[in-house]
Amino acid sequence: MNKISSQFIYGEPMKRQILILFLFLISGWMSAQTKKIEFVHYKLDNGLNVILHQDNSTPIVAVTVLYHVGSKNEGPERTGFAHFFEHLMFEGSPNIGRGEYFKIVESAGGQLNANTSFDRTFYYEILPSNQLELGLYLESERMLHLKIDSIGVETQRKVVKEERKQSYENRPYGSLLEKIFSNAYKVHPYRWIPIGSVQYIDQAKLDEFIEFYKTFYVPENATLSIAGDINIEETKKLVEKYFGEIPKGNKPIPRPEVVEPPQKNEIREIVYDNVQLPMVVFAYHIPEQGTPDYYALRLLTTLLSGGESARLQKEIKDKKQMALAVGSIPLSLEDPGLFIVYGLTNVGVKAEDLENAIESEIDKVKKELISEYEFQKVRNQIESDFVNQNSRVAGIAENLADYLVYFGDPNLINTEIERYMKVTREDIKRVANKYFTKENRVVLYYLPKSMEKK
Amino acid sequence: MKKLMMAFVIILTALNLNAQKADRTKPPKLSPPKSLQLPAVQEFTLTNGLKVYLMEKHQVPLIQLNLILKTGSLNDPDGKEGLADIVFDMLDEGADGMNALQIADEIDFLGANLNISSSLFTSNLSLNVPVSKINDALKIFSKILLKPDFPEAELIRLKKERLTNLMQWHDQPNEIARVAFNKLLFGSHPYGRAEIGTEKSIKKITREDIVDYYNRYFLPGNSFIVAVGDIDKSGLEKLLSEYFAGWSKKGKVEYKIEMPENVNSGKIFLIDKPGAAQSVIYLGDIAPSRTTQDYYSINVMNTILGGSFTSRLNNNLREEHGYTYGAGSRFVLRPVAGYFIAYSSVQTDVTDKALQEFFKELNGIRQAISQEEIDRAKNYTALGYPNNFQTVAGIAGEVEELVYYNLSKDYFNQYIDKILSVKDEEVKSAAEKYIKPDKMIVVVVGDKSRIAEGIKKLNLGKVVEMTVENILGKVPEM
Repeated sequence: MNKISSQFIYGEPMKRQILILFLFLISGWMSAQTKKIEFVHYKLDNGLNVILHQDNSTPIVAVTVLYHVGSKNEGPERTGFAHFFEHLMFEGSPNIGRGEYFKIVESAGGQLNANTSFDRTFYYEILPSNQLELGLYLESERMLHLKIDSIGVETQRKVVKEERKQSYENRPYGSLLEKIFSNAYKVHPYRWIPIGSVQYIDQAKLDEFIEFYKTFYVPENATLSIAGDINIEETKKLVEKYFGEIPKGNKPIPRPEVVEPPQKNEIREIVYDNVQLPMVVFAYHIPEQGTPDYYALRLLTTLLSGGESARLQKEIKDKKQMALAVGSIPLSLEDPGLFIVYGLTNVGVKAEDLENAIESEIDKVKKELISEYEFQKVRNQIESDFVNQNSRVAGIAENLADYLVYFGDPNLINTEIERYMKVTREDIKRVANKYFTKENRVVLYYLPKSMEKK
Repeated sequence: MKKLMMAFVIILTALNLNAQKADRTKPPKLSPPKSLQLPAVQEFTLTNGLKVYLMEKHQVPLIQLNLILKTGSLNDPDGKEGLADIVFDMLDEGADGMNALQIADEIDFLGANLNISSSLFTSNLSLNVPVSKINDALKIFSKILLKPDFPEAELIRLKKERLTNLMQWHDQPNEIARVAFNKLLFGSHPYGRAEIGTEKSIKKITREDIVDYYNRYFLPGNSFIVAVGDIDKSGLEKLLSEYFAGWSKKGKVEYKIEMPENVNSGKIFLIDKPGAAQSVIYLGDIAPSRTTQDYYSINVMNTILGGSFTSRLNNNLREEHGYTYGAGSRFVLRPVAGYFIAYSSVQTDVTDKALQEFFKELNGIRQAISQEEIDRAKNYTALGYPNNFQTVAGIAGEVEELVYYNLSKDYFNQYIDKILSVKDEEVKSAAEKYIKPDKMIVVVVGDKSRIAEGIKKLNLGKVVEMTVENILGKVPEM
């Protein structure tokens, strides 16, 4: 699954970056070929979902909490609120002072971070396995009684503004995601991205944060997922000890009910940016994750751009040499999402010509059934991804929680592969025809500022 | 969708365990950590002298197989900078009569991943493959390594791709800062080069240069293999003998490299990027080699200075002042010397203040370090170590380091103890020895018109104003 999210701590610089287009976190699913991921799932009296997975191969444990709240739960006058709130969750509790949260985890040899997507907010600690109880203590403290004060709020306001500049504004094509989503959605809250707009965070008052906390950060809206070197029975006792006393929120949890009406006409925008090379981006509306068509689209994206032998790479990058980079990616979201196809032109290639070249590859999928050989290759790639995913305990914990929250079935971590394997060659052609239409898409051009007509 | 789960899933709606009440006033007291128990690294040598190191890991049906060549961009001839980078990129562009697309197609069909990369001292062909496909994957892998065709047409494409990358860097403040930092710290020393070369050097590279480099440095005696995964020694030995024993070239390469010097010690370089949304700040100096006796104490000291979230740099610049999304520092240690770097991207208006805080912390770490900081840093570094051993690729990377630097066989098992037994005085002396703020160079990439005045007023040292072209050259002509 591909997610877009903003996170609490940023990564390191000094790595050679050829091209970073989106902030994608990739996580995945599990193969039929490999060992089953066994787990226990139950609910506490207060409604908290608990998932436990035991794997004693490395002496570490991932303690994670998923809150089912993301940027789509925000109002248009408070975009970026969920992500901003994520930053406040590190401020402490009556028992943990400001700045102590990190000190405690680092002193235990642990790592922690969090991220916010359109649909959910996710917190984790990766700890030496003897520190399981510490993880439970810390997560239960901030679920039970987070402390929010104005010093913390003011500091994090500044930090988040710099996060936005670093991740989006001081980076070529950095506004891409924002442009895609604001063009593709007119009424649904996916029309803004998790980082949101800066001014709203400045306007938010302390009592709004408290109200948000009381509404969404309640046990019945959370999933505690733990994976690693644990003993299931002992862990159950500890979970009860730390989370059992947290009261239910007992307030209705608002979920956006608005449905984005079908797009009727192609939407196009040209963005003039500080870039050297034009970029062409298509975004097609697609159904939400978990639907049969969604799985067909996942095979389709592997066909188009999964590896150097995939169609876009082969035809456009290698043979025609029209693009420095091409790719496609279906964004898996809880509500209907987008299938993005992009190409960065080679020097001297016009955006229009690259658009036509990509278009003709899309037409080919719509007109011709893919060969048995290519179909088998795509299936092999998907199977192999299964095996490779879930190799880290934090990934397993996160995937189990995602499957529960989005599909009501954590066991999809073992069985989702069957849904992929049900997709036929005909399905791939069918979904290409169904969704890859002009009126169903947004087309963006990123052009160098020098090309702007004065 | 809400179907109930398989038999092994237990759902308990009401849990009735006699739970104790939690004492929430302080973090729970816990038992000591479990030790990291890793399988031994097994060694063997193929008949041609190629050394192989294996760690078995049978949890997932995967194999990670890395072939490391002890050569990289350090061996680029003068005027042909970027050669190694292109040589390694060319390997899978054609081999034994197969073209680039046929190779890619076969690898993708196997569900395998092949990454080829080069750095200064070493280069790496790394294969990740389902164990059931290892035989087919090695067939292609060995062709790529032993029978590359280096097709001219692909060379033209890759050269153009590099020139385009150079061009794009002009709009990437982080890339500008990275290239500037290396160039200004190391000067004409090979460490100062951009790995992909310059417009001039890239244009000069020919197929003959590539073949020549290949013949000179691709030698079994100059290479080793690290394998991690679901295979045993005899199985691996049989496979590798089949595909690599025929690689019979003789020879070994010794590199000679001078100690680098900080050629711009104490200078501040201000590189103008008009309209930049933030200022990118890199500060640094030459550091010791990876084999330094002070390796562990440096590690602990840097964790306190800038190697963790609660480190002084991040705490000051982010949590106290809100100047940035994050700040940090690290030591990059190499066979011969290395470098220290402290970094952040900060709000334009406070660039001067942020620099001041950087220097405050760099000076401060030389003055006093609290017991609490030392303990926390040691725990953080030592107890988090098992994290590196979760995936086959992660383990392979650790084994590579072990082999390349000829570290002791029980290095992995001793690491935690070594860190925990670093003495307080050693941490302090590492700071005094390796953090010398007045000797460092400073690189700032940002909007000069808004930051120059403030920076000059700080009187940190000589301020040198530069343009992006001074660093990257003109936008390449293609």
